[in-house]
Amino acid sequence: MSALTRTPATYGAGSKGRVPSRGTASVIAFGAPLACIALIALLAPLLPLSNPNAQVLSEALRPPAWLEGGDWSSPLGTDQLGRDVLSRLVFGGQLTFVIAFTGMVAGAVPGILLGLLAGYRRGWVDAVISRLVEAQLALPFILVAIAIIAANGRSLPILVAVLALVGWAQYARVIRAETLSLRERPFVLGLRCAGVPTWRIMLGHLLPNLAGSATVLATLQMGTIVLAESALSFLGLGVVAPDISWGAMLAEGREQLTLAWWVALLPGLAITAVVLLVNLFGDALRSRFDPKKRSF
Amino acid sequence: MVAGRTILDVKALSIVHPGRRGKPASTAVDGVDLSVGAGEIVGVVGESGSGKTSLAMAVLGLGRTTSGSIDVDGIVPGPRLPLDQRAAIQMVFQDPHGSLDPRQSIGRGLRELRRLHKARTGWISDEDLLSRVGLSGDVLTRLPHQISGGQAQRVSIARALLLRPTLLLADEPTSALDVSVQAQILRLLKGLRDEEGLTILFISHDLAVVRSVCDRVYVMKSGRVVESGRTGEVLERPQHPYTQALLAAVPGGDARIPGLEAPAAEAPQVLRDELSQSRLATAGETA
Ligand SMILES: Nc1ncnc2c1ncn2[C@@H]1O[C@H](COP(=O)(O)OP(=O)(O)O)[C@@H](O)[C@H]1O
Ligand SMILES: [Mg+2]
Repeated sequence: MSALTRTPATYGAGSKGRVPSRGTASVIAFGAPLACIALIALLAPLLPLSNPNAQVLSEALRPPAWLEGGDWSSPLGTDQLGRDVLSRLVFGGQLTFVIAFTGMVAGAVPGILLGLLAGYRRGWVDAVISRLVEAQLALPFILVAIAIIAANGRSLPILVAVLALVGWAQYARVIRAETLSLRERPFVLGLRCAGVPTWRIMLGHLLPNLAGSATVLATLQMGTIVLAESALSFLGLGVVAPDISWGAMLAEGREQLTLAWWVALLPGLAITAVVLLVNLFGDALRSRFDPKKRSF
Repeated sequence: MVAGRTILDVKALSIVHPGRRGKPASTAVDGVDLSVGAGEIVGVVGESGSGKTSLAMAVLGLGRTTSGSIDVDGIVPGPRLPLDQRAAIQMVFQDPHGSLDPRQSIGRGLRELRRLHKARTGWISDEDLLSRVGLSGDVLTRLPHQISGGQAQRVSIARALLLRPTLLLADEPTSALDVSVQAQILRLLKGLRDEEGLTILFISHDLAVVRSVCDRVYVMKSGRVVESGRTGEVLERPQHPYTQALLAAVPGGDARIPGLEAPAAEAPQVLRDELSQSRLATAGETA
């Protein structure tokens, strides 16, 4: 039987060298500035910046350099205690990014695993997890945060735990829905019939196929977490001095808003810009990962 | 190949799918008796909804059974079989690309099976296995979307073969393929039977396909077997009005897959004798 050993034409090999699509372009367009901001914030200790907590009361509430009375020794002005706003912005950004990232991971890991479990096992496992998700989504976040922080005091680990609590339910909900449809695909049946254990199917096969959605969700969640952290710090439930975050700066600056707008406005702008960029980046990623928009 | 040894024995199998959200329960399989001997290709043919997939899933051990018994060479299929028994019953599905993990290369998929079934899979190298199903070694590095539907179906067959199944279930394995590719896959399955004695339960709604590969055929309608026997005889002289209607629905009334001759001439003599006896037996029952 010669036909049996003949190799059918190898097609589709060309799809490896795909031309970058418009989706890829916008991923880069929004990702690059975001990466720059994150890099600057994370490299803060290496940059030629003054100590963000050094108080020089005689220099208090100096406006940004380009305004009357400004000085290039503090390009973005100083706050009510004479601390350099630029330096505080960069160091505050560092903590903001670290908190956003750890909060995102701390929410993503349990959320994704529970979503996978609920969607794959269904039945009572799904019922229990889904009720938990609904309960979590029904509770006002600020209320939960106040309760936890009142009971446990303010500290970074508590803050990250609170932020993880905001996120996990979203992951669980989205991943559960995707798993429900993915598990009906014949390849899952094929793996079961080959005897591949359930945990291997979930972690080795379903998870990689959900990676696109999970990445998009994680990105969008980072935006939400930056906002949530800012809100908590603004309410005095977030980071504790001498730690600096943008939300804390916003809170401290609000008393001087009429006198010295830059102290509150600049961290506010930083939050807005980063959240906007993160959301645009997440949307770009979403259209990049959406299988219906793929070229194959 | 031990001629005449029964590999699959289904007795009085019934499957009732419970109704969900207000829908009434539906009886997908209703008292089916069916057997497949070693080295046979036995067809199950019937219109869509006649219960063929429900039957196959039950035989695989991953579907529902309501009553009756299934025996696959001493194994009672179920969801919690030991690995070695699990490997003994393999299935090829209709959707060639959907049957492979989109994110796993063909080679990595085979490696995963080898790690899981160390003792069972050592008999052949990846390259030999792939050439057995008519593929070259370069597909190993490909992802499923980088190969054609026909190639993907060959990969699925190779994955099943790797585990040396005693019974291969094929549920509409060519329905999603072009006619020319269809003939290649059918030829491959026949070749595997002829050369390696693979036992196949072949499910299809397509009489032309069944005619070209199956030694015997069961005709199913609404979950019941209405007629069974040697393929040639059932299709040439159908007894049941349903079979006659199915045949009349095929354009030309005598559709054949080009390049595939009738199977009876190819079946070994012993097997052919066996088959004609069983044809007589079942014909007696249905008459
Ligand atoms: N998982 C299921 N749940 C409920 N009903 C089902 C299920 N699978 C099949 N059925 C019903 O059983 C009947 C037979 O379906 P199936 O076995 O898929 O037939 P075929 O493969 O011949 O098309 C159909 O009426 C179908 O709606
Ligand atoms: Mg079917």
